Amino acid sequence: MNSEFKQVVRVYKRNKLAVVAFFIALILMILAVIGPYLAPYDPVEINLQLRFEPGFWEGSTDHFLGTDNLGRDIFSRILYGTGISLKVGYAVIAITAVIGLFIGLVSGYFGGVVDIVIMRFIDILLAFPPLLLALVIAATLGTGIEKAMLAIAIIYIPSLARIVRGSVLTVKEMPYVEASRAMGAGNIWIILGHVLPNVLTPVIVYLTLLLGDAILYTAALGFLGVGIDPTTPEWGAMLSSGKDFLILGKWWITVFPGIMIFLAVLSFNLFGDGLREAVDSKLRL
Amino acid sequence: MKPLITVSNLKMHYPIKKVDSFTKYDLLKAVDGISFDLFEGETLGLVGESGCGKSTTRKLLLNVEPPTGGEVFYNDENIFTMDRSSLKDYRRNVQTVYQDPYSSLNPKWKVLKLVSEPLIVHKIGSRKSREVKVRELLSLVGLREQYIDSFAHEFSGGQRQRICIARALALDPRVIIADEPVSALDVSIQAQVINLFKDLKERLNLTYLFISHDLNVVKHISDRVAVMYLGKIVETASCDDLFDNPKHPYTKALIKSIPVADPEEKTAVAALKGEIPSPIDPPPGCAFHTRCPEAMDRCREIIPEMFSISGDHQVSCHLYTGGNKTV
Amino acid sequence: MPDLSLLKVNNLKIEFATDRSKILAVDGIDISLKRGKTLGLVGESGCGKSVTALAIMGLLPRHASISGEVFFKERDLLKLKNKDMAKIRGNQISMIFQEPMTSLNPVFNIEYQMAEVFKLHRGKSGKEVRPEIVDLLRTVGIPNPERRMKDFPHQLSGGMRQRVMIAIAMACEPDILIADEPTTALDVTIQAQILELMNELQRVHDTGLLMITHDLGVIAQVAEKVVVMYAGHIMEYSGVKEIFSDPLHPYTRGLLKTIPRISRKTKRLEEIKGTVPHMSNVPPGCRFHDRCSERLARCSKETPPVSQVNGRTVRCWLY
Repeated sequence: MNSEFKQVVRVYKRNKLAVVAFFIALILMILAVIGPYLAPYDPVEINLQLRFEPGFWEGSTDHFLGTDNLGRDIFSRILYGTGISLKVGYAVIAITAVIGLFIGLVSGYFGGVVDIVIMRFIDILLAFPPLLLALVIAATLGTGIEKAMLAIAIIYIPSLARIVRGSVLTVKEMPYVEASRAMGAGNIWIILGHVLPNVLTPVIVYLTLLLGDAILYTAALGFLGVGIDPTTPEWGAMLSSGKDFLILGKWWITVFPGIMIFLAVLSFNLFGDGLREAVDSKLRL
Repeated sequence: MKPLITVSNLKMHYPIKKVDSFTKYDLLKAVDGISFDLFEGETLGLVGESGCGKSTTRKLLLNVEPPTGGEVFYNDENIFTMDRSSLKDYRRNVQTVYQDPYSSLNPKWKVLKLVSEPLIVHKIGSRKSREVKVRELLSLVGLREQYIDSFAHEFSGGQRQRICIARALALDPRVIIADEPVSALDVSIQAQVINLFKDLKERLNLTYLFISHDLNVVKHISDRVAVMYLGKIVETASCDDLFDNPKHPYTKALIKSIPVADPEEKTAVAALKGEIPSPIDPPPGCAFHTRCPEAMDRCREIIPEMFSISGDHQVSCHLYTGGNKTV
Repeated sequence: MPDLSLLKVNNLKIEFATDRSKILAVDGIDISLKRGKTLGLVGESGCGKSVTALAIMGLLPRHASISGEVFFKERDLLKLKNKDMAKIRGNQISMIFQEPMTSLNPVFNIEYQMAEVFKLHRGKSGKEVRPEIVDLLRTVGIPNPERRMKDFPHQLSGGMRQRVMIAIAMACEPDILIADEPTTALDVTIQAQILELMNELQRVHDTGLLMITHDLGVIAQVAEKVVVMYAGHIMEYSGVKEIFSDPLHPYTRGLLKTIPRISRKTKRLEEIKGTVPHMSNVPPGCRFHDRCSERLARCSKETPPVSQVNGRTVRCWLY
């Protein structure tokens, strides 16, 4: 295991872009935890005297990145927003992983009618454009960050379940599974001991690629004002609230959250890509 | 002598979806009514070419798939209908070794868990005592005990096959079903593993069902041999009898086809024309008649019965069943 | 050069560079092949036999570095440009592989794939080659060639696919045919048919055949000369009769003793101890010394040179 891990790290390191992405992702992850402590102001405190204050480019030191249309400190909001985005990302991953793995394992391992029913239902879900699906679900569930998480997770569960099912179909035909069954092992033992560990690699790769996407969808829901309360310091919601003032030259309200979304999505996706490449190289050896 | 395992008219027909239809199925007759006995302490070789049903026979004997028909008796009980505790006892006593030592070991597990899996599944011993047992098994199959903490991918093919054998021996079984256990190994390693099988048999009083396509190996290790063709057993005999005095035209052809490792003896000849027919739509009558050099009219219509020629030499061929007998 | 050899390989070395290390897969081998003759190349997995064949065909991946000479009709194939090599490959030197399924393109039918060969090497195309294709398929023993050539690879059995591969390889009547484990994936009765077919075609076209296999039985039946390879070295190189009746190298001797034979029944097989070495970790000195039963003190330190014994080549300190 150790040598496998070293091999993955070694191949990953060859991809310089992925290494940079990894460090940006790491910084974001750290910011998500310590950000609220670093933030100089309360992110939701409204101060109408300080509306549209410019930031450092005009020499301001009080509000490093300026303030928005309600006088809230953008720097503080972005720091809080990092936590929100990553929290949603992780939650989406966790929900997707648990439900997707469960559905995929059950469907692939037991087959038969269960498999047919589950797979047809998944086909239906996959037929919707993902953003539309998330919008409809979020709108139905109502406002709240937890509901947004669930709405986004539902987009990914079908694809993950399919990936898992595909791997399960291969693994369950392996001789070591037959050997286990022949010695009298039950389904639970075989699923947890043999099948699950051997389908996990593609799942982990898929999930790392999902983090960036989940952040983007959170921002999209925030921007469209569905599922996420527009007052929360969420990047997408910030982007949305600033867009009307672009025309007045108050660009900073929109640009900084935009840069954060861009950085987060790009770095997590590059990280995921690099990881997939590295893991694949291990599989080839 | 009473056989340890008796296989009686065992059948396995897989439904295969027809290409041009959504609802119609063809039947792939992988195993089509085979019967044989496995006696305590013997090695029964099961030979045949690809698609003859050797591996399906393995699956049925391991009871991992229900058969289409027929019975397998162990202690006078049919393994497909016996109760849980009898089946547990059967599974304890019948273990298996596979062809590909790469895919028959879970790549995520270490040797300790790989070899002790049967013990865990059967809830035998404590963690400590299982580890002691695994160490014993490793030295029994000629592996160093230090390997207990390694993953399967750290081993060569021959060593992996030894791990598989250790796993099969963990429950002190009486029978081992070995499905092509050496055919994926290098020539110089094959001999090591074959010798290991022989040694273990003597030390532990095992019974083997040795499935292989390699007649050289089968001849070397078996006491009795059964030859399969298209889901049926066409000939069984003691090993020497079968190779010295083959009766069925297929057995004769099979033996003639082996390239002999001696340039002075240019023997390997293409004794058979044509291909093995598909088991989806096997020929009527004797399944071998399409390739048989001695086929007669009746072979195309009537399925030959198993016929005892002398002692335990049985053959299913019209040449030997009454009528135009031409021995 | 007044040498009758069709193919002459001198001091061929093939090295693969990986991230961490370099692996010398083939370490200086010399072989030659005459017209109409069969050279058998035997060895276990990882001994470098397939890599040698791919090097002759110019089919090794880029990260392999090759040195030495491969003379074919007085031209060094290793010095040829890719474009010139492509003209020789499949035309004057052809190759067939172990698994015919992976060497045929699953989305084209047999006729198309065979026509491609004619198009590439003879500039003929379309309908004019159809009779030739039918003829070829008939020669390799495919019944109903007119109908069968419309089939896709997956519709054929393993034996039939290998016949098609042979037909493709023989399409341009090559001077040399390299066969890499051509019958390993086949059943014995089919193997016998394929070997007979290859033998027949070789006789008719006077082809030089390089037969790579791990099966000593096949070698004994088809080859005139045999090369025994172990861990990238040639251990022994001589006529097939000498190899089987009087093997010089302890490895050859061991191999011959380890195989079970129908013709003789022994209680116990002889063994070669130990495992086949991986090429990233070859033992020093003679590469076989750690498994050798006749090892001398110097075997673990110095690599034995290639020596000639009664006109036979062997690499062992015993001689």
